[in-house]
Amino acid sequence: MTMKDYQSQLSEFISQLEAKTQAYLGYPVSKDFDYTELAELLKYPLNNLGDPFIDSTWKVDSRQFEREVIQFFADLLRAPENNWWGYVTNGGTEGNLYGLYLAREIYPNGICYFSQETHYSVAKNLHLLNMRHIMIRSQPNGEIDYDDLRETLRIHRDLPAVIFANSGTTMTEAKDDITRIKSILNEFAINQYYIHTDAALCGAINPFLNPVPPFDFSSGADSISISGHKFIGSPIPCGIVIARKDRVDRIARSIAYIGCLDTTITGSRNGFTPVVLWSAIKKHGIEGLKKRALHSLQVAEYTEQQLKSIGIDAWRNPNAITVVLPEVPNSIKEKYQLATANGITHIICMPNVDKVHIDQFIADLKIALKN
Amino acid sequence: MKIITVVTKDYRGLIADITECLTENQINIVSIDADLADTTALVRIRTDNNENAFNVLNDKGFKLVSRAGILVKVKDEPGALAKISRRLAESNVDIRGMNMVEQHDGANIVSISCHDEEKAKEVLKDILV
Repeated sequence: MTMKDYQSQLSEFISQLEAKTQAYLGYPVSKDFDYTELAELLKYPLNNLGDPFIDSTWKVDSRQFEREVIQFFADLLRAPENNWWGYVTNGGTEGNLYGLYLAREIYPNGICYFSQETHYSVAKNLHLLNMRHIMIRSQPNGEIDYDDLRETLRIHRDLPAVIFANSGTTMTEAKDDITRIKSILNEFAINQYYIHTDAALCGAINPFLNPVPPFDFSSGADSISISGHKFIGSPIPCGIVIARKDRVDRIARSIAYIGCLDTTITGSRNGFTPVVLWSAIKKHGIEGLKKRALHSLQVAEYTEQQLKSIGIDAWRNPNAITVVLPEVPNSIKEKYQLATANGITHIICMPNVDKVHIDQFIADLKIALKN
Repeated sequence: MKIITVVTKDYRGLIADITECLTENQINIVSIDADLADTTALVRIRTDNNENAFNVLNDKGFKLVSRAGILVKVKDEPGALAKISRRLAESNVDIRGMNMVEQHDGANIVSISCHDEEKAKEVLKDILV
């Protein structure tokens, strides 16, 4: 390949990316970021090998930034003081895998309960970990059906329970109430349990809502996974997982038997994305993140109203930035990259979405519905 | 993955939709057979490329079961799965996994994997599909 061919292939790819990034409304990925000042870092083989809190002989890392990021999110998620641990992951799924891995190591004979609206990757994780599991019904809004959970737990009350809770399901952004789940566990005197919250999208939104939904450590979570490339925004998929340290220490002891204290999943880890997340939290700060969350909520409210005004049966869960509507014509699905399942589709009002984008969408939808 | 089972509400043209989808993706069907349980259709397919077939049918929106396990049909109501759990527990059948595959017409099709599949089939024979 000549240098000219190489450059032309790359230029063409960049143009395609630019076009494809323009219109999407159906995926929870922010695009209002600019980290060009970090491009310099691409010259270095950054690798945050192993535990971010344990020194390594490998020094080409960004672990001081990673620790700052983890501290920031530990505070945001109201983690117990001096009793938390975490790391920057490759995305929400790795964080969920980590939470389930901790749970399985602590309760090898436990059963994992999760709602039918749970992200498909969880079934994959449960298969990987060879964990026993029972799917629980969801309510029409996507939240776990507490009655079904109660009846199922009643039968398996003699076994440890691993609860995989959602705080923001993929299609409807429904949030399971872990306080209510804990009260069911207490009702049956199930003392051996572990609660993991998948807060991929909403982990960076929930702390700014009023009231704060019951999803975090103060409500009883043992571990929480958040995506970094969703609400916060990153050019490379990433995420944050935080767990109660006393839970992690339990597995660290067992790992010590094989002569290794690295409790992360992958060992060699991305050293670039922790700096991306660090940059985002430094630029936005708490106030900036709150402003983004409130902006998204306002746009979601506007979207719901606008859709209803043209006769579309749109709805959203309380304080959700996801607006649910009946399936739309294919031309609209294609243009706006809208995911559809079971006859419903959704618009996710990420921070980069403004009323002007919604007006354009409504105009296009009106035309498509007439044809 | 030896066999893929499509679980769906029955409708006119279902087999045509499945075969068309596979043909469009150059997947050859080795065998296909269908069962009907009330309004639920179970279409068992063997192809020359099951991995690919699974992906294209999944993308098309079909609910699929690929792993070993049994399928039962229960009412779509809270506690219905718990009743299955109880029946299996009382017969000392250990559940490995229980997943809802498809819901329609007030029914819920559930896939169950357990240590003793034969015994589970015997215990749940009245609701097997």
